[in-house]
Amino acid sequence: MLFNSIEFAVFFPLVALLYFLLPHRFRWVLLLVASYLFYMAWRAEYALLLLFSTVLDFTAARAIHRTTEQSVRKRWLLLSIGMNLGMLAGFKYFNFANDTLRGLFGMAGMGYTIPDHEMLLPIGISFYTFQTMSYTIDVYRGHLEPTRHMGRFALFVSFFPQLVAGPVERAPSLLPQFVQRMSFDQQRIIEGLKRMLWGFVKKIVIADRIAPVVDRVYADPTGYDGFSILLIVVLFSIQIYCDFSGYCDIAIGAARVLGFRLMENFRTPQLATSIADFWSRWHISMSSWFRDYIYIPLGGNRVTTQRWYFNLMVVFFLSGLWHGAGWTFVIYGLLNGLYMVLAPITGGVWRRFNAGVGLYRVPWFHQALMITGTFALVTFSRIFFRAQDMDQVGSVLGHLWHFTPGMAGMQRLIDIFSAPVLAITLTLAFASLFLDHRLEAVVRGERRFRSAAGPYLFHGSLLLLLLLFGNFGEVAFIYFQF
Amino acid sequence: MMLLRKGALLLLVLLAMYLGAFLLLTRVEVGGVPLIFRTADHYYWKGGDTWQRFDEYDPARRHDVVVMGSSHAYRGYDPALFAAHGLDMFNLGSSAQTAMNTRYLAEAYLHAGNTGLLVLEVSKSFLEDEGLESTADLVQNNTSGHAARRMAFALRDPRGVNMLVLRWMMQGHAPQYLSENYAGRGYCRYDERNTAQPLSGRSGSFDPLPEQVAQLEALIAWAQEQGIPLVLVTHPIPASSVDRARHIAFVDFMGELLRERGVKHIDMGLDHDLDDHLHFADHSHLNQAGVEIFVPRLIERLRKEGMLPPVK
Repeated sequence: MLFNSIEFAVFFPLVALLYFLLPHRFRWVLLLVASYLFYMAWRAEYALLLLFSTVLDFTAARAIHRTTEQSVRKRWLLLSIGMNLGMLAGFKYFNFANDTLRGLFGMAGMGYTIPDHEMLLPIGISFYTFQTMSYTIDVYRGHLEPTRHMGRFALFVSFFPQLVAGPVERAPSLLPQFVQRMSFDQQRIIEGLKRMLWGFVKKIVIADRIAPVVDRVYADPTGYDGFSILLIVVLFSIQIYCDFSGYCDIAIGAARVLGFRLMENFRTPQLATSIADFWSRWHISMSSWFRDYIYIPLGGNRVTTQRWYFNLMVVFFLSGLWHGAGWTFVIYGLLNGLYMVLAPITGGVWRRFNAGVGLYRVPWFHQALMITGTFALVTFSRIFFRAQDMDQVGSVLGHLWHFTPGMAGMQRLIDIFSAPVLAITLTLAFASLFLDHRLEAVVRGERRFRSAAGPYLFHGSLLLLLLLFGNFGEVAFIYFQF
Repeated sequence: MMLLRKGALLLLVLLAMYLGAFLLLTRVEVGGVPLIFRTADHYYWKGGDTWQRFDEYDPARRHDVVVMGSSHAYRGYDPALFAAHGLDMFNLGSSAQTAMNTRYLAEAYLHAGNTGLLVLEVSKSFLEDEGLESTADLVQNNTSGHAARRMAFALRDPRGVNMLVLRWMMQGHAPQYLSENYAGRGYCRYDERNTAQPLSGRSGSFDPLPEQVAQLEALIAWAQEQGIPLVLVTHPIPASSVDRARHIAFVDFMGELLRERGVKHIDMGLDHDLDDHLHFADHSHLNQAGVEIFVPRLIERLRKEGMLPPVK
């Protein structure tokens, strides 16, 4: 079920109403049933995978906790990780590996007959498998005592607000909340609804208005000039932020209405002043997952410099692969890894350059340059993220340099979308880029209104934006495909 | 209570802002065009051939044949050619009409007393499109408020409500433009010849929306209940633009759907000898020369099938 669908507009208020009407001891049952219904609205049979992952990790964690014998504990851990990754590999990476092998065999002049499978990628599989794996690993490390309540654990894996695209929650944070008695706190409910509204505005008004423009150009980049392509590459950066952070706002808001607190997944990444800073602000739940379960076990930065660079590249390679089974995603990850490695290598040169030209004397300008530079690097890497294949990457990069004087290059886009519609989309997109953090502070209540009418006018305006400028075509969230 | 009070107050503020914004957007003009039409593609101007068609149509008058469907309908079925064969025909086709739009229009305007035969011009998009474009056009330009409301709500999103508000705000306004191609009785005449490049990017599959299939089923059931004879027709498609696999999938699907309901689908999509350049206006629509060949052939076929009265 999509958050931006009429089904969810009926589903969520109904679940919330029943949730507060039910006695506390039955609430987890309601949320579990609702979560499975939410998931099964897409494809009922794939709920079996969710169930399998749940039973597997519940059992593995209990078994690990029961024994002190290290070999048995390790066997259960490997079983859990192996099965979860196996499931992920089977559905998500099999065809990619198969295509790669087919290509290699072909290059060697050998036949290769293993066919691709045609099964759909289960929505959210990359999110819930990572969430359950973190639970079992935490139990193995002794950081967490496993729950004895299978129902609540099943709810931890399937909790509908964050099931299909995160935030990837950790058990110590979310599981205890299912035991807590949540009151009907009107202030909290209003806070959650405001957060949901903000998410819907970002998704439906900004991301979904940008989507058709970006889709059109990416479908045939050769038909557009460099300025149009540059514009679309930047627009995609704004689209993906508004799409994904919009989803997370709705998820966090919906959970808040019910009384739960999910972790924040974004911290104004558009204001990041370096790539490392960017990754500490973007998809925080997944970045911290990679940090805690891969980067630090590899040694993090407390190793030799070469090994540190290697660790960074491994983490970003896996992060790219996590996003999608394709060489474009692998390159996206590696490119970001390379940025991370190059930052300390070139740091001294930059510092000397900045001091030489006197940038440190104008801190605001220096910061603006850092923000712009980081945004440009991230946006460039997203060309690989958005493209369907390397041919498309080639077309986009090839046409990025074909500039046409004046507005002539934009004419094709204007012909398709009309100048006013395009102008509104661009205005909303760039306004979101520069005003998002200010508006979000208002939504979160971090900025107060001077008059009593302020909140009504502000939220009324958001609703008005949604109603008048929203693209209600039920465009799926980008991160659903992962 | 606080939640309800704040919610109600917010709704009141929103309603005032919403109506105020609409009033502003429909009244303030830039370059002679009200601002509302510059904000999104799904706000349609009042006027054009759809407005002219429904302005002319008189439900009290009986027609031997009423044609409905997308632009293939209003550009492909010339009432004058039907008249030459002794048939009174009216064309209620409109841009991108889908099964949902056709159903609500038919239920609003037609009955056994005013329609001798209902010809539904169907193409793949009749069942594949959600109907946004057609709804935007028809909500603004058809004369039945009931049909407009049903179509707008069938979209199941706020854009439908916005269209209804726009219709309400534009009531009493003269049409903003008229179509030069409108030739009367719902028909639009196009004489230009096809110079478009053959279409590429074929998908090969036909993917009807379940909601649109359900709407077509409901439309057929309604016509049979009303006693309105019904036939589905697909008019010729230029050979250079046709995606054969997709077309065959579409025809097979229609055949299966209609067989058990006792309704015929006359498919002339591929079964023709028309020239892509001489008889088509673009990669999809017939021009007048093509219409003049297609319509007499269709009438002959309908007469053979016993769906039309014999020559008077």
